[in-house]
Amino acid sequence: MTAKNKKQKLERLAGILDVYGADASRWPDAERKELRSLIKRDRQARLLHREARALARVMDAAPSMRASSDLKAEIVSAAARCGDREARVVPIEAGQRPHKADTRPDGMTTFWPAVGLAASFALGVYLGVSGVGGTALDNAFQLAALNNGAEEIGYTELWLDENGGGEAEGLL
Amino acid sequence: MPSDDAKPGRAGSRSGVSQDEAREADQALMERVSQGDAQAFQQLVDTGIDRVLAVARRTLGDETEAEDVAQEVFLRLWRQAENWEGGRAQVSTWLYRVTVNACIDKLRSRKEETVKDVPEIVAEATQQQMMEEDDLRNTMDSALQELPERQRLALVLFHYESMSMSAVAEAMDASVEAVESLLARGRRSLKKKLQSEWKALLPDIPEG
Repeated sequence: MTAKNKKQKLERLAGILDVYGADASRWPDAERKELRSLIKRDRQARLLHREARALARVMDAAPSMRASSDLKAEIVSAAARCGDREARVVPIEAGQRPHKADTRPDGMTTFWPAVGLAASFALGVYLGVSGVGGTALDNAFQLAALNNGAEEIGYTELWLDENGGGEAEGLL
Repeated sequence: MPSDDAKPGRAGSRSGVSQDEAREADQALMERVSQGDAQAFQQLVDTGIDRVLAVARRTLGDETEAEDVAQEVFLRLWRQAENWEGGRAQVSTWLYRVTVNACIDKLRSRKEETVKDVPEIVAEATQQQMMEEDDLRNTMDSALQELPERQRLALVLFHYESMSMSAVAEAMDASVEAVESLLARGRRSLKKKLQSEWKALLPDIPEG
């Protein structure tokens, strides 16, 4: 390996480490073998790789977090309160589909209390039996479904796709 | 997060289930959610929320905001599930993409309110403190938060979430080349900012 050639290869290794990090399994397939062999036989390459591994270890110290059962329950109950979306249990027997809330003559829904009930019901049930079964939780959803259209959660449209790329993304 | 293009074996992957199988399971779950199935929605929340939270926490550096993002992402999924077109998008890609957008939105609204001073933990911390796990975590967190948002997002998705380059590009609505550039610049910045930390670890890193 000429000095120039070696320099180029070390630069390439440094570039790959910057982009992909120290984990060789994430490097481009076409270059992995050669770069590994370079690391094996060249001290400078080994040093570069070692530094990248040390950096990766520091990076892995970045804090993460896991969802509390409270948060999961909050999300599920908030979904149950979504006025513009019916929640139900599947499969649903014919004629048993959740229906829109009856409305009073003044246009107010008659099931406002059901919203609060559904939310607290879903929260309690989720905390208690999450993963065991969904019967009570489903009841909460059904209650909320009865109240369909009654409440708009504090949701704002934060989701503008600046580049218009959302079209190909199904939901966006 | 439901199945993704993540490297197998990392956190969040489902043991014993191939990526294709997991993807199909997610699609089936999403079909049920699109029909209003509450239990399916709960399952999607259960399987996907930790990774949405992890992305949001590392991107925003704030647990409360990360929880807000998680809630917004899943409520959006629930509300728009009726329009879900199976086959056009993967559930995980959609979730990542919406999470990324939500984080960017939060960061921008923050900037509008006030320019938040990032604490100079790196400069103040001593070598001894760095040996303590909490300090290292704080230092790393601060360094990550100091990166420009797109460099940070690229690193969060590629390094922490182990997503493939193409999946990161898709989630960020960017080209693969742009993501490579963001990753390289982000990693180089971190290497510079965290010099004393990674150098302190060198003796523990075996050669080869």
